[in-house]
Amino acid sequence: MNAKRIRRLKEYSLGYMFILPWLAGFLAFMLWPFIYSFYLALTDYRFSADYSFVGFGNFAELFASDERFHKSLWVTTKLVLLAVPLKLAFSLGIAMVLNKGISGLSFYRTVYYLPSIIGGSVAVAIMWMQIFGRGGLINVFLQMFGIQGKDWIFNPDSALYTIVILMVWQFGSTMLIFLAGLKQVPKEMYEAVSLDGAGRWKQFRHITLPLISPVIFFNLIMQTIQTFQTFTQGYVITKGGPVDETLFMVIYIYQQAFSSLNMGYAQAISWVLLVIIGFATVIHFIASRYWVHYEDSDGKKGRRL
Amino acid sequence: MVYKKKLLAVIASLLALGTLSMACSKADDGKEPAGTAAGDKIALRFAWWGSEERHNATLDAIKLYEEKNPGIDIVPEYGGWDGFTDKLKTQLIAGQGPDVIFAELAWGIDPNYYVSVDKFPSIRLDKINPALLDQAKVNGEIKGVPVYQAVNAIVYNKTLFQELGVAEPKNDWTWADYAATAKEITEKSGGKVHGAADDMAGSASGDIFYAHLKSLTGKPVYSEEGIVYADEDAAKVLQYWEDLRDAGAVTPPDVAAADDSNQNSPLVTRQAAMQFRGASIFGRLQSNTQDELAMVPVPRDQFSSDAAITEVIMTVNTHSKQQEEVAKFIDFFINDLDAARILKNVRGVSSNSEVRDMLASSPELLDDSTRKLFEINSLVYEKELPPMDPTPEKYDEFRGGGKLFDQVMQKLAFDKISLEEAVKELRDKGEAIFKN
Amino acid sequence: MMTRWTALPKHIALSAFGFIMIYPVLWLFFGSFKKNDEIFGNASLLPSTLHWSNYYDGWFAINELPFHIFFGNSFLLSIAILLGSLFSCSLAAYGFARINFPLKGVWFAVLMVTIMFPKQIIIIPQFLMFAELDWLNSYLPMIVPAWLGEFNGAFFIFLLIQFIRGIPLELDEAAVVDGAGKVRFFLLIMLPLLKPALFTISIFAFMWSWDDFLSHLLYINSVELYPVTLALNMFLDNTGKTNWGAMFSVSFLSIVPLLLIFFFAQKHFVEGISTTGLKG
Repeated sequence: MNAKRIRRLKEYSLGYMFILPWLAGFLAFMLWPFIYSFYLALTDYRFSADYSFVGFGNFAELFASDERFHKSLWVTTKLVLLAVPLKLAFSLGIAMVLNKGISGLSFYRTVYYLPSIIGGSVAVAIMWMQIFGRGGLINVFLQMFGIQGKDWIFNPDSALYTIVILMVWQFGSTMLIFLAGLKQVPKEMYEAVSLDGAGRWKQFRHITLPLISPVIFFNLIMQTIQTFQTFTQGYVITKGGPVDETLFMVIYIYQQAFSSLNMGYAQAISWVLLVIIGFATVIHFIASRYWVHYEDSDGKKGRRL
Repeated sequence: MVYKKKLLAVIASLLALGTLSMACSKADDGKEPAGTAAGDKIALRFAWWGSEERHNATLDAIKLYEEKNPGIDIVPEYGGWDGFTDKLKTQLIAGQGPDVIFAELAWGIDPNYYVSVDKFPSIRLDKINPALLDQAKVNGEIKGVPVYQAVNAIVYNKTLFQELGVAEPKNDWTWADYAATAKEITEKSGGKVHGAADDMAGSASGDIFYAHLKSLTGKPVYSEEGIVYADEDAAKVLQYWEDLRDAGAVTPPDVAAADDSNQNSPLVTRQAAMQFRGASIFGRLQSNTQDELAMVPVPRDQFSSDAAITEVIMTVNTHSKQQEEVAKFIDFFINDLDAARILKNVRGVSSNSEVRDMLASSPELLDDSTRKLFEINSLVYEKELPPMDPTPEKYDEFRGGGKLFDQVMQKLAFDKISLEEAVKELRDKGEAIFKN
Repeated sequence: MMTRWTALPKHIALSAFGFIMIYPVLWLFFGSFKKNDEIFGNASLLPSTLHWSNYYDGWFAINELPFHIFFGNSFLLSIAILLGSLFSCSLAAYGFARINFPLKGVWFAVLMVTIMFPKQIIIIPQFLMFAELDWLNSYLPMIVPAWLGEFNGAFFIFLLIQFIRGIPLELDEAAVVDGAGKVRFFLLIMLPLLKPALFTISIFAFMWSWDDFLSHLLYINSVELYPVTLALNMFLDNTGKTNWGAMFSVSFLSIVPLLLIFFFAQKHFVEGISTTGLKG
């Protein structure tokens, strides 16, 4: 019994040693800002010495009377519902094509990753307007069919969709992750199954999907979380407009904090965002039991064939 | 094979260690103590925003000052416009701001972060327009030296006017003339060019609303308490613009939303022939197009809306440990004629009358666009201009990007609300902001 | 022989789609050779004449600070952050995925929560903290957290955990299971197996730190320490003339190293894995 205990203690301390750098980082650089942020959310702090504790007043105001907040919530949700599935679909599709082994693979992979390299710089804003702006490429193209295009970016009806396209355009990161995941599927599996006569679609459904499901799950969660947190794409191109059609939540938070100096209020909004994201993540995790297959669970729950 | 791998591993880790140590040494590099004597030099941190032209001119001016004052080391911290405000505000909260501060009055920064400049005898204010100084006052103390005197103007595309055969605007024209000219241009171009940009829907909506309303009534639009204008007058102004929109004489609202006063300005893209802007933008607009641009003052009605406007102040950080030295530098920057020869117009038309006169009489120092800027500036400021009307304490909460006024104007232009709703919303929500 | 021809439609489709993907960058590239008033005036992609002077103007835009200084800074910073992330995140991921210890669930939940919080908000308290530590105007506020798993740490850790969970447990069990064994297993077997994921993380860490404008803005004051992000921003003012040609040229040049690194690194790191080899 004693030896077993020692063994277990050894394992526990080993575990902590492995996570120690991260844990130290969290305690040092995250914990206090977190707590301070929550504290601020309960005040009406405005960057000056006199402020007061308002309890849940900020939250009440947000839900009861802040129209811009409601709009922002709706706009951000729309973005997530549109951009995430599209992005995942495209990146998985292209990854599968590229994974088959094709000459010039490195070249293609770089080309498809290029949009993500450009990131959210001002250059992207300028380039995007060159395509979707009034005199942009899309309208030049439409002109050939005699259709008079409008400014797609700065019209309230279409503004959000140009941002959705921008986000899907930058699918490179998700594609890379899928590629890495696909590489981990042993080739022998495909060979064995195709010998049995299974076609490509069957192979995909029964071999590829289950084996890369942890990776799909990862991308799904990450993209959901990150899309809820979209800031640069909206800020740099449209600044949240026109008429708040691209006022994503983090942009609204930013405006409240730095422009209106309503720091306490801004913190309250970010905690609401946190709860929403948390909620979405928990749902994803629960659902994952039904479709994600892990090699290290010995085929217990969540395995489908 | 194994040997090769091992060798690669060793090389890789040496490289890694090398870059890591270089990065860490860089990490300590920039840590000059601010405001304290490093060696025997006094270091003053100076932050500004701009593009390369301004950076290089300012660096040269700094060099001049350091030559004249060998005991001082001015530490420059400069960058682009984006993010400058956020950084400054964050630094000030943490007590880490620069010694010499450039800031816009409109940013709403707590004036307690600035030291009143009238406390320093070394800062000479006698050549500066008192109407400008008034705007920088808080509780009777001048919180910063106005850097330039600004003027609003209607910028127009001279080439386009000539092509269409429309008479160019005159210096004392009225809003009625403005509407007529706008409609004429739209007609003569067959609708391809709109007479004017719909500035009542864009980022300058607050300024043009003020100018139009003031010229209509001659009375203040706002006061220190809040809204002072009458709703019927506001409605008249907005109706004027709605009429222009219905006649197609102004650009559609998405153009205003895309307008960044740079390459997307409707003047540059030839979508409009006229636009209301601060005259300091002129050089930049001109550099983006091969057409010839020109300026006239803002139209008037029964009254004129012209006022002395200043936007940027140069001031001393309360937390600075070398306030007296900062003051001397500010005096040099604003008043010294040699500095002015280097700085020229990179920050607009100087608030110092001596500098203005010197530059105006040395045309070789100014380029074409700047000359036009100086012309319109002296034209408008010829008469003794009153300062801008005082604005309520929370004015920067009321108008600006994403704020109530701009939002309501945008909604109106995009037909999301009616004119009556717009006027009401401004009144109700505006008062709520100011009373709070 | 047959395969070459059947691959042709695939290539055409991929290339066409690829062209759409990179069109904006092509526009930026060609724009860097145009004169200022030509860039936005017309819809034509190609410049009428090649203004190589834009590249000179961009590189030497600021007196006494040629652009290679900024590139050097960005490289240094990004590599330091990349190495730190690899170190702290691979350790943490292995700990979470393969070792049992008390409160593991709690710490994992904490991990997930840190991903979910928008960065822009905690940046002010963090700034105050770093101001207290006197780390301002240096690279420390960005490098030290990376070595302690706080530069997108949660993202990388979670990614690695998912990859590790794709590796069969039998592998671990086949190796020696007590303390020292686990560490050796981690270094000699697990890490090499994770190469695709580690490569991916390296790319992300490098690029995201290269592009991290907000942190650079707040923590770096001296212009000699500016990375490329801040240097590019120096061209953009709210009233001054924008020298588009110069700005485009250095913007494009700043993409090139990222591109090259990505292109060449692929070949060395991405390999297929065959677990049968190991099982045998």
